Amino acid sequence: MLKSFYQANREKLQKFNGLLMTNPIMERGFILAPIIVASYNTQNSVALGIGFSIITFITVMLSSFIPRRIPYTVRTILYSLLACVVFVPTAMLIERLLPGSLYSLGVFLPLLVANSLIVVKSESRFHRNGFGYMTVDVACHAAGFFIAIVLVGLIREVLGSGTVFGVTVNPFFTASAVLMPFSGFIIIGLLAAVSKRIRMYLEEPASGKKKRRGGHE
Amino acid sequence: MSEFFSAAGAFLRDMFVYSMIAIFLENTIFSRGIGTSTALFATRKKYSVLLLGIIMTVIVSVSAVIVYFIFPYLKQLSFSYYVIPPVYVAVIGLTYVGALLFTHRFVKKRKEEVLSIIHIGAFNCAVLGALMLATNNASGSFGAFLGFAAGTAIGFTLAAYFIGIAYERLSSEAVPKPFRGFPITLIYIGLVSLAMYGLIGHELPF
Repeated sequence: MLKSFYQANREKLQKFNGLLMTNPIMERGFILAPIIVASYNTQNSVALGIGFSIITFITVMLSSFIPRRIPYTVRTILYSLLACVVFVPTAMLIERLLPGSLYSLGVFLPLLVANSLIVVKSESRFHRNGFGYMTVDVACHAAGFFIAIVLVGLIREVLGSGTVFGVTVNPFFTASAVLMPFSGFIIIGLLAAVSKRIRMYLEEPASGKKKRRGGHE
Repeated sequence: MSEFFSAAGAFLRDMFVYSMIAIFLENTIFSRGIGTSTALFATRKKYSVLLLGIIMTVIVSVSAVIVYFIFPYLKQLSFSYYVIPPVYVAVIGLTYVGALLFTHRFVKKRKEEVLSIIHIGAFNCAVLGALMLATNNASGSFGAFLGFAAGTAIGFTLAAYFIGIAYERLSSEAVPKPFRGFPITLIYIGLVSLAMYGLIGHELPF
């Protein structure tokens, strides 16, 4: 039912693709560093999710007003500098909402000013569409990132520390290795496979006959 | 004269030690995850990893020289946390523009390829991350700072090479479809990262 709904409304749903079909983490592999290293608990994940969403959304929207006659290289640098301006109030807000987060996130929050959605995708995707479409598209990509990073943070905190936001929920077993960066890669790899399986299911022909695909991607 | 040689020796020693730390102990991809997206993108698009690594090392090294002399002024500010990103982005931006101008003027062979790789390798999280990590980990001597920054870029090249040689196999039909390509590559990077974690003497905290 979900599949037939998706296939019947594929064109209309395209602007919401950032949530799953072109999720910036699970499908595209953009912005992996913060999620692999710093997203080992829910608080860090929420802080990074808020930071990324605000910085990326405002920067992409404002950067659409930068004239196209400016050379591509200079425009890209301006996008990042604009993100640096947005970064200041965002970091202050995060520190107010989740005290201590700036310290535990280290370099990973400032690094968001040069994230791939701002530096690369602004030009190649977002700014090519109309304002309304772009607003929904960027918001969905930000929401997709937020959902993915919070999910990873939740899994790692429950398995690694047995807590959620510091409250014990899993007194049975913990494995601290889940908090290490290598586990971040492995968990995101597994979640990316699950997300790919869901995408394959949604894109398979409803008749039951599966589409043949090439060996290499 | 002997003072010059001892200063040069100290510079080279610091540079070597910190570059080794950045390449193996604090590898930008395997230990920090920084630059993973760039490495995956370059692998997917079949760009020359060696050329990308050379360009990135040059960009990071030139930017590190500038940043090293600016950082003492930034450090004194009470709000330095908020000022460092725009200053570093501006420095990287200047180096990026400089690299493009230099290539247009002086590079004759494989010019188009070099220009397209500069666009990928010069202005991204990996370069900004290399400067920020060098600031946090090696802001003592000039040799240490430059060595750490350049070592981060060399470590990136090494890691991108490891990813590149496995990517073809990991995208083959032998791998189940949902895992093929990006998901299994991430798991592979995780396993190499775990191996490096053990190789440098850490034990798992079970």
